[in-house]
Amino acid sequence: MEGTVFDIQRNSLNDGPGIRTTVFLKGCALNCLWCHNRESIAVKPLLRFYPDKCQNCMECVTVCDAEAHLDLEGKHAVDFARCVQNWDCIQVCPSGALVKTGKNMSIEEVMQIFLKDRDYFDRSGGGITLSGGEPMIQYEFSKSLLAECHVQGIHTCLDTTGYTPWERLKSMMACTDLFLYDYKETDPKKHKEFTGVDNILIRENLARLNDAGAAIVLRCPVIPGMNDNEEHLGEIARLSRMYEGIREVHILPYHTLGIGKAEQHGIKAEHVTFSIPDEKIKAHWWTILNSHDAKNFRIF
Amino acid sequence: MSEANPHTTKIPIFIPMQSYWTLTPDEQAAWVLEFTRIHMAFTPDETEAREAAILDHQLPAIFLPPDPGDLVTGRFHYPPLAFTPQPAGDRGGFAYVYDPKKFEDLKSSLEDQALVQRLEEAEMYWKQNDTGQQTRLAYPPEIAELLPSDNWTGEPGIGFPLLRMSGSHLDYGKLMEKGIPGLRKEIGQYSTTHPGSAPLFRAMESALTSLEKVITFHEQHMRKLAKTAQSKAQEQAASKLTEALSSIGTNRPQTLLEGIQLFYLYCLCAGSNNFGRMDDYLAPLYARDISNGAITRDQAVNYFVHLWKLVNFREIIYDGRVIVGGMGRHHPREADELALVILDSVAISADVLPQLTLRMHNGIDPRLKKKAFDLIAGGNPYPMLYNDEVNVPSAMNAFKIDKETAKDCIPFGCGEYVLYRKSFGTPSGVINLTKALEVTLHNGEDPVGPRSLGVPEANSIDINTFDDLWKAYTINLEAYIHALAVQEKIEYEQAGNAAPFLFFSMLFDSCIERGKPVFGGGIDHLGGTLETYGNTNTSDALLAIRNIVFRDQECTLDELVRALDNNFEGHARLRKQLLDQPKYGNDIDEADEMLVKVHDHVCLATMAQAEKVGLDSYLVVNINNSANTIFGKYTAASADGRLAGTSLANGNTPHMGMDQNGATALLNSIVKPSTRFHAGASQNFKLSREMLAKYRDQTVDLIDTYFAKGGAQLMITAVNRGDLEKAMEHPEAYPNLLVRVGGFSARFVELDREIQLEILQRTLY
Repeated sequence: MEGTVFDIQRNSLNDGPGIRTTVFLKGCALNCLWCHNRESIAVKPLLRFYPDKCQNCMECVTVCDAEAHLDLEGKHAVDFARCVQNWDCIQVCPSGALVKTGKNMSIEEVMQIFLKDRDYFDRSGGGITLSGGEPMIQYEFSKSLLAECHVQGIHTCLDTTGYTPWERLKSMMACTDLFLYDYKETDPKKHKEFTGVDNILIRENLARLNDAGAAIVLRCPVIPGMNDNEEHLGEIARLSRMYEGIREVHILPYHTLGIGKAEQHGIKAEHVTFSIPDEKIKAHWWTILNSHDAKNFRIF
Repeated sequence: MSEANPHTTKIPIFIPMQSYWTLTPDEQAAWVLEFTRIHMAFTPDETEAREAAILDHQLPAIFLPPDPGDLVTGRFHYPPLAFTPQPAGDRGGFAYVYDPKKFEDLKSSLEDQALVQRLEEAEMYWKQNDTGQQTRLAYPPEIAELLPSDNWTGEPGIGFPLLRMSGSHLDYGKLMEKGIPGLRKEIGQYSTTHPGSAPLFRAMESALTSLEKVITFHEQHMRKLAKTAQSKAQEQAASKLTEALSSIGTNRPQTLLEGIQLFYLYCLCAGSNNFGRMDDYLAPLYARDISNGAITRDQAVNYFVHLWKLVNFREIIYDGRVIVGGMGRHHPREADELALVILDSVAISADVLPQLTLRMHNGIDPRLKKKAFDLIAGGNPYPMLYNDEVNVPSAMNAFKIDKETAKDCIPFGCGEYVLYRKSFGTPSGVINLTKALEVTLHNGEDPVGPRSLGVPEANSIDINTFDDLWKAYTINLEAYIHALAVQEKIEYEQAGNAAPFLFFSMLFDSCIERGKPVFGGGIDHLGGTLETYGNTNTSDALLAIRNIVFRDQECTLDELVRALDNNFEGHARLRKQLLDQPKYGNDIDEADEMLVKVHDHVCLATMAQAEKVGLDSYLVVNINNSANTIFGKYTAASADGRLAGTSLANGNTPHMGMDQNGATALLNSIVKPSTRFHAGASQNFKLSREMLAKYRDQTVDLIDTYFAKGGAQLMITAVNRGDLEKAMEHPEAYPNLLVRVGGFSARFVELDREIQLEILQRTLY
């Protein structure tokens, strides 16, 4: 069985406890305005172009029959929409300016990489994390991979939006030690506006996971001017008190690291750029969360 | 003592108790001429008396008067002529060292042309009698042909000799225990049992008299400074130091201050640049001072802060090792307390030296480990972390010694191991593996320099397969390894012929007991080390050639060599293909296996030389000062994709920026080359301070796991993201940004641009 992987990060320290290897799988049903991994939304691999590395040699123009590569008066440009993904251009590019994001990997191949860091996992209380994208889009692959990790005795985290049929999520419980569960917006309408889907299924699944005894870290991206209001932060606090399964709440402040990356994949940033919260704003969030008696929360 | 010794009557007391550095130029010239006269006055078999007489002449003359405010003291510069195991800075030489530049400076300051002429006559003598020059003249023709120059910083080549007796860590524990009187007593005892060694023992006694003069010189100055002190505090400090100096001339040290002062003045008289297991040998004095309330812990910290000022006054940035922690200490509990004090003092001084080295092991005091990480997290390049659990068994194998002896295996300089008190292992050669491959690919021609290099046996091989290439490369490399091993042996012989190195011989095990000088059969273990460079580039290049030329047949070897000669101009695609080949440092077996092959070959070929040339060991050190940058300058483009003239990789690490699979992958790779047959490898690890602050526990776990998997050593530089770039733009804003270069630390803004770029390009984790 193969999955489409767009990155593997070893010594990953912010996707679960200890030292971890995080596998990023392609495909996501949501389309969040602030998404920092836009190249992950489509399941298929994508062409990536680093303009800084390009020497304008036009070798790619020569080999691309689909005319995705253009010679604009000596300056190389990419028309991503025309790309037919035969990757010939990558083969001829002398400077590494063209690369493919996403590749198919078997369970064995991924496991081999996991096992190389086994000693680091064991000492630090770490393990592996499946992230994305939304790993549940590649449900069979995700489930088999985590099951194999459990056979090997490796701790597993599943980083999920929760936007998936309950039966599927339920079936992941047997091979998932800790759910890193995204919670993005409390108001269903706003949720749809921000992410493309409402939060009804997400909230139901969260309740069910909790009831079923899952261990959960609630991960909340907080974007200034979008969801950093008292209503949403207050609800996060309430959930942290109400659901025993929620061990920690991680508040993840908005950052802009994903913007350049999206453009390199020909994905136009349709959303406005949000402001990066400063320490003063984060302190304000802290005050709200604290005033609502939020349990075990951290602002990153 | 000296009047009982008829021999010392021959020793002239020229300008007693006066510093050379406070003399007029005419007096300085007279001093230099007198040095020359003394040297000439002895026959070649009177080496002991000659050294004693020269030491008597240069001690305390080379010292500078103490500064007001000194809590501990001792500063010197070498004059144009000196007896030393190693001159300051980058210059080579040992024993009797003639410094042409300082001669020129002195001559130009003189008005009396007759004096100038006499100095020039003296120079004629020293051009022949400088011990380094004598060593060069002693090479047999076949060695001289392979090693025509020792100017490794100024011209291209595969191998170069380094002339120096570097890396002494003296037994200061013995000095603390016995003091000067105890040493005299010991010498006296063995004089009666070894009458044949009388000249050596007499010379040792004379050297101790010279040391006493050095102590008196400082005592007299401090006494004056106490009288002219500007403040009560300064007066008290000067009085206290006067008292300590007065005591150590006649007694064994009784307090920490006396211990530090005796150790340091002895060390300077010996010209030794590394400071041994300091936490252990000073531990009893510190413990006693604390328990009887003589000093507070803060005062002890302050003594060390002052000591580091003196150490930084010396031009020894590649040395200055202080070792704390580890197995095999005599006073482990008290030493841990003192190690904590030393760590605090290094954090306060935040300077380039000492090169503080922490030996870790499973039983380490957790407070030591915690404090070490506190320092590192604060951006201090110290302590460097060494792992006894790996290094002790490795040393047993490499040096062929038992476990107890191996517990005293400590690094000096940039990271070469020696056996504390028992061994010498001066690195007397540098070798550039990437250059050896380059020359092999050119059938003996050097594309960068005028000389043909390598040996005909290798250069005549017609290379049609990877195995042919490997064979030719290894034959070439082995020829230089052998030449440098022979060179090392000759260098020790010349050292032994030149002088007994009295201060060394008194504080290395067995010399006094045997009645023999350190390089004349006295020391237990006479080893040598060979500094290798470009190991990673050579390995990555060999793999790329194997894959691209011989496996995939993307180009011929000739086409590849042409591309390298053209620095890849017009061959961008080939360069990309070469760069795309697996690289060391990514936990990719194919690349790491090639590194292991290159590593095993050079280490074992080197190790095998010991028996051939008559050394107790001859071992590779894969360390680095800034030679990776210097050698890189004289190395054309290499088949790993590296461009001509750019830095080679640093020690046992990937080429800069080639490690792209994360920290665990890097660490997994660098534990693969065996530690069991070399005498040290350095691993630099650049870590972002933000990461270390945010994820301290995981970082400690990461390093613990690396050590548990066989990691021998790690040197961590924690920097803020972007600080290095900003420091290049605005050096004035970052005067104190310390970084680990390779085997030494430096202020980033003071480094050459090439070295700055090399550090900048290293992957930041």
